[in-house]
Amino acid sequence: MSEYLATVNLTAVVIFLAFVAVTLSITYWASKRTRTTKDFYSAGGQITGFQNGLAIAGDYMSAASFLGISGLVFASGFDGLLYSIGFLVGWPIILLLIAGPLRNLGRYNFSDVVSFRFSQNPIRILAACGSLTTVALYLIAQMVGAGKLIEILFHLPYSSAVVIVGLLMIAYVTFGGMLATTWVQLIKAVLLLLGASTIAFLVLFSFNFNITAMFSKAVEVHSKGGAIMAPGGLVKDPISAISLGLALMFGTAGLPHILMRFFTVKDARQANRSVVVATGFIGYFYILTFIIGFGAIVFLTGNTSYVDANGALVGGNNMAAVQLAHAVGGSVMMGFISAVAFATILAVVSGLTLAGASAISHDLYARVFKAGKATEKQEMKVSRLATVGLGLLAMVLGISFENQNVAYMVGLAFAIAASANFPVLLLSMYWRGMTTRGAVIGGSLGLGSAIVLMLLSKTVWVSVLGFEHTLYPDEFKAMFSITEYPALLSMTVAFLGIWFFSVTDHSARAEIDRKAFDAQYVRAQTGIGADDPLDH
Amino acid sequence: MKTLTSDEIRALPEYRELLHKRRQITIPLCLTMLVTYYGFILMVAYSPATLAQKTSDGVTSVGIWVGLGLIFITFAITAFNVWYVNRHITDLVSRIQAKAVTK
Repeated sequence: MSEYLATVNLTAVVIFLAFVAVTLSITYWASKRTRTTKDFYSAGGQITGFQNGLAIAGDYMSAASFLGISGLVFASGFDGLLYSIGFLVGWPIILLLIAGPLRNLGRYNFSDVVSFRFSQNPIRILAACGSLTTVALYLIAQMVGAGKLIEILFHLPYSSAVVIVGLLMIAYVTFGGMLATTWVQLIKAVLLLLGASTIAFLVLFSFNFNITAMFSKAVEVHSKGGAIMAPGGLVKDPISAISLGLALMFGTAGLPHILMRFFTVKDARQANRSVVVATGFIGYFYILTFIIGFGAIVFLTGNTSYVDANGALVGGNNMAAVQLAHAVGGSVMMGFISAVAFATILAVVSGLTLAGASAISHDLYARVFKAGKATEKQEMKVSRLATVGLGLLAMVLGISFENQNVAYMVGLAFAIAASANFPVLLLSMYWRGMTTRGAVIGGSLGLGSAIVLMLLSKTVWVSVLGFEHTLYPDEFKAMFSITEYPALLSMTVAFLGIWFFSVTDHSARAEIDRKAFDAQYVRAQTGIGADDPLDH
Repeated sequence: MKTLTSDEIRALPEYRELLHKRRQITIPLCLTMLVTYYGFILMVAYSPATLAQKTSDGVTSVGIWVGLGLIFITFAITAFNVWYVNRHITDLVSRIQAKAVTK
């Protein structure tokens, strides 16, 4: 192993400890202001549009996307850009169709919105299942990423790294709720943007800001040569390309921890503003990761401090950004980026856990189990217990899935969100004909088909679960390639299912569901009634 | 405090105008986003050679500029939408709210 990785980076440790100290103080401050469920789930609705936009960007700029995408650009150039674009293009859709109505109809999480005019129990249960599945997959990806990173950078055993992340996250969320989670995310977002900007600046500076010169040098040294400037083998066939595109674009609009952030602002106008701010920061960040990836090609390739005898990056491709930080800014820069990457994981898992906890305490406990009769105090208690439970579960999952491909897990979380949460959310807002039965059956079919297809895929069945052969015979390989990127099929199943089981629904409940649409639409469009204090 | 029923709100001319204006901006912007993105994806899938062409500097490919352009377009769509909403729609919503909820 390279010499500078063999010792613990002191800068990284100091910066990280400072981050922990600051965020724990914020948590203490936030805990004094977190008394009601409204405080706990939505920071009392007092976050500004700009802050929320930056926090959303922070949720999105996870370690998986920072390290993963810059690593992907390092490995295959242009193909890395494909992923960034896919992650970004969902935002206008959220702004145009989802953000305003979401804020106007819900209070704490997206289940409030999808259950607005339907029979509460079945829809809440469905939405909670969709949320928890998405959150669990996303959590695994973040925990595994965290463990790996900390193992390399701080020389802690993988399992202790996972436990540290889990404990800190439990502390932030249990005591500080959404307020602490938002501030942790804001601080980290600023640090990450600063760090990534500095590295990208140093890379461009060394080429006198001549992008062509940087690209030429990269093409010259990369083992794939000119191929790094063109679409390559990342996505093998058109169907997979479209399917992945669908998952990335519409998955964003179904991620429970992102949707939850829209309830932390005052009104629909601030919700819209936060999308523009978030899109701006995320777009800028992806441009940085692109420059960083190319910088890594130029600075790390062939440099024996960073690559082994076979030309592979020490610590794997995901370490490209961290290694580049060392190459252009020395061990202080590398320490800074390492600490920020660690902080990033903490901030993102906190948001995820809060979203998961709300599905358990707000949907399953308060609305379904207690039929809406739970007291404020009881719901708070359950939400805190749920946080601790999810934190422990995240540690167990993180440790048991140690060797999984992080980027692929994130992809699966997006596919599930796009197939289970997004269709129900979109149609509940815009299609008068949707009924409780249609939503529940269609949504379950979307969730179920996405999970089954995922399980059938070679990546999950063989690589993750360790079976020797796929369940389908080898000669049908081409036909089953859809299982690797299931969104095209599972989203279609969800939309068709909702449509079919709604239009054939002639029950008395269906009448109520359809009749309630007009009033819901008025509120979604105008916000009238959105702040009624009826639950306080 | 008196609040109009949703049926009464739906009958307001301002409400009809609101829906009309929303549609006018939302549908074209959504289509622009979907067409540009899936156009790009289809090009990656069916005609990667188009994106692999070099630009005049002999190194940078068309695909890189198209990709970076897409990032700018995505942001531009969100910014334009919020600008349009603030200019043409926010005031309309306030007028409807004022009519609907009288204190």
